[in-house]
Amino acid sequence: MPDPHDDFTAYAHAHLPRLVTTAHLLSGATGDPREATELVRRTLVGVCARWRRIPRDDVDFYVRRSLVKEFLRGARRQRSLPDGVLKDTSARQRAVLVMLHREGLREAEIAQLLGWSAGAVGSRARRGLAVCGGDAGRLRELFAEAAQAVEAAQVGAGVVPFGVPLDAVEQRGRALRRRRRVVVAAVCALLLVPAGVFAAGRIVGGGTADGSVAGVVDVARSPIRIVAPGERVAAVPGVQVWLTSDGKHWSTPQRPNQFLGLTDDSYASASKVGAESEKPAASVQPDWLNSSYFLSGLYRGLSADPARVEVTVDENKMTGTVLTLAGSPGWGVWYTRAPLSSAELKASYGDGGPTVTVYDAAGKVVARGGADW
Amino acid sequence: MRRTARSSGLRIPLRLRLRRTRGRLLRRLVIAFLLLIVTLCTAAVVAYRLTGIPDPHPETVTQSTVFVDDKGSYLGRRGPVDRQEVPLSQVPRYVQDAVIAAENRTFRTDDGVSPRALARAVLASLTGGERQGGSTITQQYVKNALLSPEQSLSRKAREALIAIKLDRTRSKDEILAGYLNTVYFGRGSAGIEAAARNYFGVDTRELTVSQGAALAAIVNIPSYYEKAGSDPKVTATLRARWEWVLDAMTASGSITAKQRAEAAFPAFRFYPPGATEGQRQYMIDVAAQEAADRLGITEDQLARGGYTVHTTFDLALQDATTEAVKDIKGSKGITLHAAVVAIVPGDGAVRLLYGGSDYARQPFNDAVGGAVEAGTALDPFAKFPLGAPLTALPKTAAPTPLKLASAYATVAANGMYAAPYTVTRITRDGRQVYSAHPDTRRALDEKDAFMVNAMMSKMYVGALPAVPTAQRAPQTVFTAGAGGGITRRTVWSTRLDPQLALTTALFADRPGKKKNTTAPAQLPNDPPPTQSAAETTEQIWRLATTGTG
Repeated sequence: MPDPHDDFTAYAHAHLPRLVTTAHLLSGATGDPREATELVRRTLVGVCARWRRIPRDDVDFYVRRSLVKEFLRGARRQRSLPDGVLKDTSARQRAVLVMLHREGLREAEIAQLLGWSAGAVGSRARRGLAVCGGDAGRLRELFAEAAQAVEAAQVGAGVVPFGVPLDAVEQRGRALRRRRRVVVAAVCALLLVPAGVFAAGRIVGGGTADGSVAGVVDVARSPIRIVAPGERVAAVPGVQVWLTSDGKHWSTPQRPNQFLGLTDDSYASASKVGAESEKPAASVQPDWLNSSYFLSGLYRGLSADPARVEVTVDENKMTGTVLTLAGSPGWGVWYTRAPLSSAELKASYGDGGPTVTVYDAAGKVVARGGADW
Repeated sequence: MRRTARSSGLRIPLRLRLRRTRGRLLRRLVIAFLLLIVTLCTAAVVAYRLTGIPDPHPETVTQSTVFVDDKGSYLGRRGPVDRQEVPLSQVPRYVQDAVIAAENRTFRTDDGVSPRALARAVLASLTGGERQGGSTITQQYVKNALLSPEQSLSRKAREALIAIKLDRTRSKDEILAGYLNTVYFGRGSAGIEAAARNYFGVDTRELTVSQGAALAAIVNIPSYYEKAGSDPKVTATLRARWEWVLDAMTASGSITAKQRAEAAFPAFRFYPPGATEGQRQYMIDVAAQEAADRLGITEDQLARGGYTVHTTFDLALQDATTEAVKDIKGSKGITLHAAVVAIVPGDGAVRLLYGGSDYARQPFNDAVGGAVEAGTALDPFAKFPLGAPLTALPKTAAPTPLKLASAYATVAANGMYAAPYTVTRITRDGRQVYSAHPDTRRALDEKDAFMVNAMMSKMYVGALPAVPTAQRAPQTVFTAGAGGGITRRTVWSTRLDPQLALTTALFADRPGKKKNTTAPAQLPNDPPPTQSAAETTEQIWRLATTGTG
């Protein structure tokens, strides 16, 4: 790949005289043409710095634009011209006049070059011309004369054209490009690094959030419901169960309004605790319905709500539904929805009747008990 | 030369022209954009200045009045919406944090609106991700409480402006309190207090970390999550969201890792809740009337006022009484009525007021409004002068059970009459607005009271043995009524001791000749009414004095 600066050097070398001439005309075509070389030098440094990005099929336009802009930039500080035909013209008018009558651009092109509207270009051209005497032909001749003078001076200067040291220009251009790159890189870094850190934080944060999606749901967990004191729960058709602060109430079609207190003797003996009433315990009360048994019971003395209540009737394990009062009182009532046939219940009495086991959240057995009759 | 070549050329190609004027175009665009932004900002500032914070609309100011029994158990409520306000100090910090974690994590630091949350919500809805709201808690509060529930872009903009203004003029705590007290939690409950009761049966300040997180999770889609507990799918979805809320709380440091590990998914109440025997409406009726009277407002004002009425009733005893009285059944064509009243002698607190089995069928409270023929029930008072307000009682043929019970309570209190009351105190927003003081006066001479008591004991002809109770003073048992033998019309059965006066009245009626009227009827004789009344009284007495049946 050829060095992209090779063609810059070639271009600069080829166009330097014409650029110096234009620069000289822009600055009023008076004084030493060498002054114009400074303007050209600055222009070329800028062009060199962005040479790679200049479209190759439109180089003249961009170089010319750089020159004019560089000139207008400098002209802001410049005092008015000492003498000459262009004495009373403003820098902008002069730029338009030179482009129009010396460089031969059309107004539309000048508008593009300067970034103005075509109307602004036209009006400046007219006013500038009026200031210079109103004769375009004369102006053109004047420009041609001045150009010839400059060219003559340049030829006189020898092989090194007019004291614009192209090597130095290239060096400065590269330095400028490097500096611009550094600035752009720094700005990008300033913008991107916080954004990157933020994004990384989000991804990491999101990762932890995703990582702890709902734990394994224990399928055998007992359904547990809170009830208000006296709130009737239709456990199975015909059977109502409700809790008061002192114990379990239940009504079956056969035996309405039954009660089992938390401190009942039968209960205490079933739990085999005697004096130590706070020890965890559980019990089973079977009730005969029309064709099957309804199993329910009481547990108490727990430190938290149970996770699972399991009833074992003759090798057959069932999960009970739990009812408790608000505020985790540590006791509650369980019942099974599935009816139990008389035969199944009787068979279970071979090994001690139905037993109930209460597990806590960790899956540990916290209470165990059986039927109390 | 050059000029001719140029001018003879065609127009500059568009591509070239665009490339050459690119800078200018870009500059113009940037300027236009900046102008637009400035205009928008100006418009926003002007709109902000012009927007006022509207007053909360009436539904969100209305609160229901809640009735609780003597132990603080929930009896029921009166009012159009299930909402009660709680001060933020009553809401545990972790419940506040849970709601913040679930709904608007930047709540404590944002400016009422959160552009980031909004962008995230838009992105999520565009990419079809999980549904999320971009509204901050402040915006939701504005939407719920201050604006009408119309859905439009202009309302959204207004909502955001008000949210910003609200955020700048009120403290975060005020906004959070307003939000927690108005947001809908499902199960008909607006605000955290009603939600805590309807989901967990507790007061807001008793909520646990898991319960708070569950409520915070529910706020997202309350109409869906309100089935939590009964619908396994809903429960599983809620559980996943509950875990997510807890994780967010742990991440923000609201709860410790230990609390997180210990949190167990909470149990929920039934929805709709199970029946409660239709008893509570009777109690609420009486208490509401009395509370409104004491506060000097109408019952309607009471129902919308957000009061908490602490009653004297013993809910457990009332429920047990309902079950006990259920066994006494009328015969064909005759409706048997029972009224049971228990009053604390010398104080007047009504512990038990049973006046009908089902409010839906009979909203009339027999214990308070029923005129029951006294018969011999007033005989013990016949020979003694009664002071006000019992002066006219011996001449009343058919007193209400409450009236007669208060006379018996006077006897039990050695002649000190205490006006029966059902409301102990009334609070509102955590402040006490009314507190009952026993209204006592001497209605019977102490000696006369002793004599009446003695006469009642003597007149008691029942065959029931007195229940031996070690701690309590000897009790008086008295059964009387109108009619005799097998033609009993009414039976009054009473038990007294210095701690409690319990009166049961049994009477019957049958449909009258005209439609919707009733006529008194004879009590059925099997089992003998005096016996069943005395048995019931004894059973309730045992429940009331020992707490077990």
